[in-house]
Amino acid sequence: MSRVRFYQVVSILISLFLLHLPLPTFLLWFRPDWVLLNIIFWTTFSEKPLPLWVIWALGIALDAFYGTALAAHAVGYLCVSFFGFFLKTRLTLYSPMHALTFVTILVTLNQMILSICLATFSEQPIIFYWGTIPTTLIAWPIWGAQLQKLDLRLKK
Amino acid sequence: MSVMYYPRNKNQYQFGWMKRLQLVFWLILALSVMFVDKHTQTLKPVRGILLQILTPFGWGQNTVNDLTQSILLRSRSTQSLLDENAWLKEEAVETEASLQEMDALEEENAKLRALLKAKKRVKQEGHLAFVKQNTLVSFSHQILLKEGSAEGIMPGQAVIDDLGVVGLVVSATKNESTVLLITDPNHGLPVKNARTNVRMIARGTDRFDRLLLSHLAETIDVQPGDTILSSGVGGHFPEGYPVGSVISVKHNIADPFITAVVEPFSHLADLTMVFVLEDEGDGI
Repeated sequence: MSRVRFYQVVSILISLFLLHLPLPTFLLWFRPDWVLLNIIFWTTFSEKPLPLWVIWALGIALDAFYGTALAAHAVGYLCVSFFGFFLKTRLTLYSPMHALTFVTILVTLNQMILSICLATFSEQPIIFYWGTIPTTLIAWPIWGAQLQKLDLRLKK
Repeated sequence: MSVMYYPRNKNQYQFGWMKRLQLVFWLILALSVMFVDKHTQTLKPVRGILLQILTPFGWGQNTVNDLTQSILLRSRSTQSLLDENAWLKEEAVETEASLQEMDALEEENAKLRALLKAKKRVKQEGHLAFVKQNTLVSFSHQILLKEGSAEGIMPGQAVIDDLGVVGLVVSATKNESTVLLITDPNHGLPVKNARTNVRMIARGTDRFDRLLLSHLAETIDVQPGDTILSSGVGGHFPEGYPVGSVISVKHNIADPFITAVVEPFSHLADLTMVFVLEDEGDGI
């Protein structure tokens, strides 16, 4: 296993661990999507993106965890990874604010796709699920910076 | 701390046709899985297996919970512990007194049944189980118990606590079992109104402290304050266990039905110990 792959696996395991951290019941709808942040970073900000089958499997695992329609997260994550790939060749991000805006677009896109999938394939409430966007964006500067440190170390 | 990004070599970020075909394949597969999951029960075991795989990640949650409990316990003064001890002793005496009263009532009940030549009901037995992990996420209300099939816990058994109905065992391995709480959006519990004996279905919501009695005809008599009990219909939950109380009744002019909101008696978000009923008998 290459060093990049090793770090990718470690970061995914950490994000799954963070996903399970307890939250008070009133904050459940605001749980940051740590796995999505990982996918965005490794597909958009790194030179060696995550394989598509890994993204798909992570989506399925999250659906089992959240109890949502199986593969709803997988569709969102696959679309986000595609747009990440697609847009990064056309955009140059010169500042942290540019990067944050870019991540905001991807996180919102993921929630939109997820909401459409849930509305079509399940009867679950979807309004409050948007609460995850602000907390995911708050978590991005911290989590993204840590991943970037790793990525820079790999390039040396 | 923030992320800066400067593309180094644009040519290396190619999303070629091969990748696009792969993406289409995985997307089609995902949509097919969603379709199958919606219309059939085929993928239910897969969901269970995936949850089992994710269980070790709950170690963090358990550690944080244990740490919080231990800090709270250490921060309490000796006086408050003595007070609690005294209160528990008083409570034990009261419970003992009520149990004696219950024994007398049970004896009287048996005599009445004998007079009526009614079928003898089996007393419900079960296992005490400790909660290992609360899967408190928005769409899935489940708990993981430290006891499994080795202790006789099987899927389909009802779970209660000292306040009322908690949920249903949905899967059990040798040493662990998963309980779907009555507030899970995918859970429906056959219930009845203790005052009127009208049968209804209590559906889970996205909240741990709310159940919904939906699609009730306008003629049904349901009022705030009514106690809701399990009806025994379906065979999983024995009849007569307390579920919750009605807190509001909604009449919508555009809707021919009325909806009642029920607050469960059990504190489902912070369970530590439950009682798994053995799947035998037809009542209490």
